Amino acid sequence: MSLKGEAGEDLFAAVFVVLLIVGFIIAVNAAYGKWTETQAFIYSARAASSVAERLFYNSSGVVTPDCNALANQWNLTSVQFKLTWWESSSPSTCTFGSLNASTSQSVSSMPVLVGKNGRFYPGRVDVAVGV
Amino acid sequence: MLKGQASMIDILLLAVFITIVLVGSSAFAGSEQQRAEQAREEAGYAQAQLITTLEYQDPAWNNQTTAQRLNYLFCTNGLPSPPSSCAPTAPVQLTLQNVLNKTARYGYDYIFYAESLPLNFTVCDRQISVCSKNLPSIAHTQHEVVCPDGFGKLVDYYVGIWPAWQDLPLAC
Repeated sequence: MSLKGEAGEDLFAAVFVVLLIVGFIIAVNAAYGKWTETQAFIYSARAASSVAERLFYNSSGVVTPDCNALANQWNLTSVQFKLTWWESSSPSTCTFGSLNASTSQSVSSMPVLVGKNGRFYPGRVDVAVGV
Repeated sequence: MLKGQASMIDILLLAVFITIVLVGSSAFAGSEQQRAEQAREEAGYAQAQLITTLEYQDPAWNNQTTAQRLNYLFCTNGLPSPPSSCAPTAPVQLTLQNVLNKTARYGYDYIFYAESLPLNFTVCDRQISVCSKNLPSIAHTQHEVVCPDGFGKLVDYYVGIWPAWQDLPLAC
């Protein structure tokens, strides 16, 4: 009876130890995964906002409504961006690359003025960088 | 034997505890980094919006210099013909107000404050606060404007942007 009890305790202890080790590995893996995920997100968010700010400040806030020309002008190759401006109540847009709302992209925006035919229209540029 | 197993479990429990602390602190540090990055981006957006607003031109403004526009904005304490409604009518009349309506972010409170000469903007569903005192704002610039009496005045003006769900750094 006593031996049976000891054997049961041993089994319980062994199972508990295995569970703790598995829990430890899962927790460390989760911490590392979360950390690398956060760093990747921050890196891409900084890259996106850096490009958005560059688009704004390099042109004093006034851009032309031609996304490909903008990309060529500032040698942007690894980012996607979308320019939205309002000449009327419905917005006009142009895009460079494929910008879509997904969790694998960090998006940063800047307000801009779109210069067209001597007029300036309110607009916004959304820059996306893959995480 | 039992004693040895117990101490091993103790060590493992300690390891799990330390891991939990590490996971928690990693998550906390990560969220703080994200918050800082968001604040930096918001600061840039606010400054850009101020510049965009002040640089905005339409036919009525094209012949005015920036100084004249600033002068008009600050010294008359108002905007030229602000639309009474946010709903644009055809043909759309783009005004400074439209610039803000189109580019202002939702869910954020804005503060525009010009020292001594407050600007009063309304952005659609958000009433922009006009403070009667200086704020530790995130965008600050200084311009000389010429008032109708002919005297130049150096005006400090500020723009702030905060998430609506956060309190302002200083209550207005």
